[in-house]
Order: sequence, then structure tokens, then C-alpha cells
Amino acid sequence: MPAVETGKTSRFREMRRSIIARLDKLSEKKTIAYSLYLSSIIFFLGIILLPSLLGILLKFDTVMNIVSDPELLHRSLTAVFSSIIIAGIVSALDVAAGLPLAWIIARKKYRWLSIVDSLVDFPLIVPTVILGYSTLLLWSEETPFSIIGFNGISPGLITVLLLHFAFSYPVVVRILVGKLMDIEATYEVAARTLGACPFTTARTVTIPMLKSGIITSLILSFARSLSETGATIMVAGSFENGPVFIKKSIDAGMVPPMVFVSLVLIVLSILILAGLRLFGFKLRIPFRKSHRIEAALSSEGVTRIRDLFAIIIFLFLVLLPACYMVLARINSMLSYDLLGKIFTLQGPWSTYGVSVLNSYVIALLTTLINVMFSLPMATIIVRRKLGGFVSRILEALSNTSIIMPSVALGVSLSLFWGTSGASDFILVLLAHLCITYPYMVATTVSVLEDIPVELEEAGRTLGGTPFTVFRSIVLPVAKYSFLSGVILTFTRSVNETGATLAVSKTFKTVSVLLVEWVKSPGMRIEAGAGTMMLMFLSIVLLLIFRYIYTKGGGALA
Amino acid sequence: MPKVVLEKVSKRFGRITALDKIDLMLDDGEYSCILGPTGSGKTTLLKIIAGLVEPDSGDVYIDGKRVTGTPAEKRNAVYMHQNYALFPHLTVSQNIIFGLTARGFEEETARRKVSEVLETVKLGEWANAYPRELSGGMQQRVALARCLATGARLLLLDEPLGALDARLRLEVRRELSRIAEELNLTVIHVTHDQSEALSLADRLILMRSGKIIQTGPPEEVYFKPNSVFSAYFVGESVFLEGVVRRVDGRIVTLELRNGTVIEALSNEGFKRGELAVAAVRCEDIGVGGGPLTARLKEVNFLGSFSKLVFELTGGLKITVNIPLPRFIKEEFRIGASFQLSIPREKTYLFKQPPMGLMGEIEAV
Repeated sequence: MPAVETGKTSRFREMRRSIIARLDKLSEKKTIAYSLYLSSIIFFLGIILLPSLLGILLKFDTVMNIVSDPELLHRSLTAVFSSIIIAGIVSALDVAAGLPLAWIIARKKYRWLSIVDSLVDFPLIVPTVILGYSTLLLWSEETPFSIIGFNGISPGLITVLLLHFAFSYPVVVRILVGKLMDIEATYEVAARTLGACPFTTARTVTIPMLKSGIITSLILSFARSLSETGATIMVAGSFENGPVFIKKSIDAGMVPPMVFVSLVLIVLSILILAGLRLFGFKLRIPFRKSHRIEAALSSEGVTRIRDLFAIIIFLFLVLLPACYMVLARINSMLSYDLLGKIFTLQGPWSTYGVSVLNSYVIALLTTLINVMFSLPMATIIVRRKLGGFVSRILEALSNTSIIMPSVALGVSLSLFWGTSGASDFILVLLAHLCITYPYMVATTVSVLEDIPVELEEAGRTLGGTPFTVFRSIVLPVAKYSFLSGVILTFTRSVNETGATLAVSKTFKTVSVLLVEWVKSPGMRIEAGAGTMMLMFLSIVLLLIFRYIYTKGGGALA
Repeated sequence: MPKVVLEKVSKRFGRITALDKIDLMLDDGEYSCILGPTGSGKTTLLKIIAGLVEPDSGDVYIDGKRVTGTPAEKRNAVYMHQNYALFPHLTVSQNIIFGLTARGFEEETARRKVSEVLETVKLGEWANAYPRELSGGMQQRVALARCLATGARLLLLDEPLGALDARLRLEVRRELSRIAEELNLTVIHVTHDQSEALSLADRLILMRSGKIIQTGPPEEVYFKPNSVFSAYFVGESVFLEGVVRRVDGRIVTLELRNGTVIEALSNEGFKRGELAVAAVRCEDIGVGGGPLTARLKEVNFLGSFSKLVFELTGGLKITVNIPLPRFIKEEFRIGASFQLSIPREKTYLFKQPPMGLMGEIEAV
């Protein structure tokens, strides 16, 4: 303790202490706890769930228009079928390719791994639409592989697959690395000393323990693939999946396809995801005698090749598309005097500055509000405050908006809030809340599940009020996993385009602006420079955030 | 002062009745041990007193004040978890200071208290270590210190010695009773280890399936078990089932399955032809000179005493504990025939339990 304190810091400490004391007092009251739970449920139902589904509910009668039109029905069902197939293939490939890389990051001790570890998050900070454009350039329009005789593929199913793989891969690796870190190496050591080779150990010990992580990964990448709209349109060519079909028909002034396709997608994906949750956990991985092949697969040579493959896939199919647009423009950008123009806010760059500010304000508010409301919600779900049945229902419902095609979500929201007279800022904020809410709840739930209830009980019985226990025990213990939820929410909000465009034509976030620039032929250089600038800003912001978080959190007394 | 009273406290978890109308009164400064098998409701009872679990019905009083519904942090009763629940992100001294700042102590006072309790549990030089750096025994002492520092006069310990090895357990047992005595604490200590309960307790509370079976000083529970279950769970007994053949004042004659006849003393008003269970402590059965003929089947040498298993005619097994001076290996040859005696003044006679003898002790 410093012996002398300036008047200012002591006043600040005094103020902090009195605020904490007041919150302590408040948290002692049961009514306060229950009104928190109640308000989080009202927030969920009134701001998240109902507005997301309302567009569909209001226009439900138009479903018959589709059913009675054979041609439209056929087109709709084909689109839905394509969506499901793509989501299935992508989520399977994500896990198959993500697991080896996650394994390397979690289990091996090379020095360069920390770089790979941070590079994995890199695609997350690129707006998805930009990733789409970048993918299009890389594999089709301006492919650099023409030097080896590859002339690019025309936009269609393959480019959609490549895109979806790239944007869902980082989340899958993140989840699997986290789970692998939680599985103690002692189990693997035990299996090895019992005579199993590394491959057999992985198959019979580690992967079965990893099952919940794999299922979560499958669910998230499946849902994200089903709902992504903006980037998919960019690379789809004439190919149609559900969201692309919805967007096309909305642009042509038709609402019925949106209602029908969204409805079928929601119903089908709820069935598929419920099936995955239900049977996925029961599914046993075959536990046979270990074969000679497995020993061969465990040999150093094969392991090296596998690791190499995992890294090549990551570099070429994920990392390269994420930064290709910037790379492809790097020459023209250098001659463009980027820094001079950006920092003097000349021409389009003043708009850019405003849109960046818009994005960060929205992302910050979205994250704060979602943290505030998802904490009590997660507490209800994990600690079963309102009974096990309510918990399960709320958990399932909280995932709805991940599955909804983002364009359908946007239309639903604008139908719901359209007549309310709310400003565009509020509309965009509401849309972002809906889109990021499931991520925040899901991560908070898994964070709380990992904290032993005894720690909370010990805090209470030692004399801590619920608020003190939360502030000085739950939060510090959970802070790293909680941080990943906050970052996921924040970056997702910065990158969002589909729903933002649907609710507002005038309020421009930086992702929306970049999409506009990408689409207008004269602005290609600016689009590249703007994307690079955004990536740079995001990295700086994340670093600052991480620094404040590790410094500030967990201080006691 | 911390006098703890429970009135008709019940708690159910789904279909399971954890506590069934528990009445209990504990005096100030008393060291009570709640003893019972797994699932008997011991921990639930302790958590209800602590305020970590709310009873479905009934009331809890501490210091004559009704505390039902009062949150845990307001009860001045501190609960220690079986696995200690030390906060992993805080050092030993931060762990201890938590309860002090939470209770509004000034920083200066709090720091003094921390060094005080660390002295009490002899962990002075570990103040800045993290829990993961400590051995199990040291963690246990930190958890105890953390509870003591709060100044709470009512200490609720859930299997506090369960995770320690046998030697350490004896040591900490002595520490616990020393500290409790010195600070004049009221302690409620949950355990399933009878020797722990017998040695520590001023009062023993024996529980089974959410009910209190017997309560009293350990000697009373040991020497005057009120039920088959008491005799089974506290001490070691041989149980013999039979039919009452004669009642002569207090002397009851019981005929066992194999036709052997034994006698016991009872005021319970047994009737002829009634089914009954006799219980005898394994150390009270005499070997050499007695009416029962038995063949020695097994000899287990256990150091200070030996455990011998005899078989009566008809296959009935009787275990006898013999202290070291009386045990001479050459005398006790397996297969040899012995005469056993069951002293009637040391035989407890109980009515046949409704679920039968095995139902009463096997459900444990």
C-alpha cells in the first residue's frame, strides 16, 4: 500500500467503495435477484426471440402461395436442400481439418505455435463479406495460382464451400483447443503406458472425452453456414442456397419465399441439431482391438505429414483468403498514399472514419448489453434457478437466432420495429443484439458450468454477499473463457452486414461501407485499404482490451 | 450464544427425501458429530444450518433467532467444504482475508487477524503461496484458518478429514479438538467415520435415510444402542436372529435358527413366539468355556487385536475380536473346535425390524 495518496485517487477509491457497498446491499435482497432473472427473460423474449420470429409469424399465411406454385416450391426446396448439404459438408470438414491443428496447438511445444495460435483468430476480424470478396478474388477472378496453370473456378457451389469452410474454421479450432487444454494429459499418459500407440490413444481416450467440444463445433459451424447471407451471395454466381434465394426474392419484392424458406430451414435445423445433441452424446466411437495400421499411423513420418497437411490447409484455405484482398491490392495501395489520405480524412475517408466509429460504438453497446442480460440468463440455465425444465427450454430457444438466415432475421426485425419510429441507430443495435446474443449466452453458460458451485457456496458462507462473490470469485476464476465470449460477440458485431443492411439503409457500419466500396468498380483500392485499416484497428483494439482485462480484473479489496 | 435448534426440518430433492422432519437441539460450545452412511442426509442438514440450502418446511434457530430464509452470509455460521473450496486465483492470505473484508473489517485489523490464524494453524510462511502449491493437509488447514478468521462462533465442517491420509487424520483430529476448545466454538462435524465421531464428539448424532436414529454422548450411543442400526453403525457387532421362547422378568430366552439358545436382558416387553434380533459386540464374546460350540474358520491378525471368525452348526458365522495379550497364535488353529460364551448382560435385544435384519443393515 502506498503510504501517501493523492486526494484524487483516494476520492476515487472512496467512491468505488461506496458503489460496491451499495451493490452489496442490493444483491442481498432476493427480490433483486428474481427481478434480474425476470428482466433477462423479458429481454430475451421481447428483444431477441419475438422480433426475430415475428416477420415469419406475421406473413405466415403467404406460405400457401409457395406451396401452390410448383415451380417456386421446387426452387425453394432445392435451395433449402443445398443449404443443408453445404452446412453438413462444411461442418464435417471443419472438424476433420480443425482437429489436427487444434491438436498441434494444444499438445505440441514448438515455439512458432503461439504465432499460429493467434493467426487462427485472424479471419474472425475480417468482415465476412470482405472474406467473401477475397475468396472470389483468390479462387476465381484474380487467382495467383495461374502461374502454376490453375485458371480459377467460376463462382458456384465450390466457391461457396470454400468460403463457408474459411469463416467457420476459426471458431471450431478455438473451441477444440480450449477443450483439449481442459483434458488432462494424464489420461493420455495412462493409455500410452498401458500399451496404446498415439493414434489408438486419441481414438479410444481423447476423442471420446472431446465429444462435447466436437458437437458444439459441429452445431456452431452448421448454424453459421445455414445463416450467412452477404458473403455467400458474392461468391455464389448462379448457385442458390436458402439465404441467397431469400435475398434474391426480397430484392425482387417477394416476401413469401423468405417466410417459407426460413420456416423450413428453422424446423429442419432444429430437428438436425436436436438429433445431434440427443444422439451425438450417445454415439459410441468403436472400441476395437488396436490394429497394426494404427501403429503405422502413429509413426513419426506419418504424424509429420499429417501436421504439415493441417497447417497447409489452414494457411491456404483459411488464412490466405482472409488477407488476399489486401495482398492483391498491396502494390496499388502503396502508391495511393494511404496514410496521408486516411489521417487527413480526405474524400471517402471521412465517411470511413464515421462508419468505423459507428461500428465500434454499436459493437461496444451490443457487447455490454448482451453481457448484462446473458449473465442472469446463463445463471438461470446453469444453476437451474427456475427448475430444470425451464432451463432446458430457455437454452434451446436461445440458439434460434443463430440458425435464422441473417437476411430473414433482418427482414423480421424491420417488420417488428419498422413502425416503432425508432432511429436507425437503435434498429441496428437491436439487430446486432439478436445476432450476437446466442454466442454470449452459450459461452457464459459453459463458463458458469465449469465453476464449481462449492466456490460460490464457500464465498457466501464466509460472509460474502452475492455481488461480492460474483465480483471477486466467479469473475476472476472465469475471466479467460469469459473473454473469448466477449471477443466473439464484439468481432461478430463489427463484421455483421446482412441484418444491418436489412434494417437500415442510412446508418452505415464499417462493414456495410466496405461492401459498398467493393461493389463499386472505382473504389476497389479504397476497399482494400479500408479492409487493411480495419484489420489493423481490430488487432490493436483486441490487444488493448486484453491488456486492460488482465490488468484490471481480479483485484481484490 | 450459538445454540442451534432445528424444528421439524424437511427437505426433498425430486423424489428423494433428504431430510424427514428433523428435530435437533445443540448447546453452546458443544462439539457434535453427525454420523451416518452416504446418502443419509448429513450434508443436507449441515447446508441447511449454513443457509446454503433452504428447507422445504421447518425452522432453524441460531442463538435463539429464527434464521430460516436468512442468506448464508448473514448467519454467522461458517461452512467448510469437503474439498475445501479454496479460491484458486487467490493466495493463502487473500483466501483468508476474503471473509474478513466481506464482513467489513478494516484492512489493518484484517491483516492482523490473518497472521493470527495462520499462526494457529502453523502456516505462517505460506501466506503468499497459491492453494495449488500446498499439500492436501496444508490446504485443509488453510480452509480451517479461513473459517476461523471470520470470527464466526459456529463452525460447520463437512467431512473435514476425509481427504487426508490415516496418520494425518489422527493429527488433525487432535488439532481440531484443541482449537475448538481454545476458541470455545460450537462445532457441527459431519463424518461417516465412526472412530472420528467417537473420539471427537461431545454429542453424537446418528442419521439414516433422512432421519435421526439416535443422539447422545458417544459412550451412551455405543453402550446403549437404541436400534439394530445403531448397534450396526457404531462399533462392531454380531447379529443373531431368533424366536423368543421364554420371558422371565428381564431375562429373555432366544432360540436361534440352528437351535442354539441364548439369553439377553431387556425391558422392552417381548412376548413368547415373537421374532427378535440380538446384537453382541465382537469384543464381548468369550472364547473358551461357554455353551456354544463353534469351529474356527479364519484368523486375521490386525496388530493390537485379532479378528477370529467362527462357524456354529448350521453355518451361522460369529466374528470375535480378541486383544493382543489373549491372542496366542498356536492356540488358535484353523479348523479347531471352541466353546463360545455370549454374556447376557452385554447382549442387546431388539424387535425384528420391519424390513428384516438384512434390510436394516444392507440398505446402508
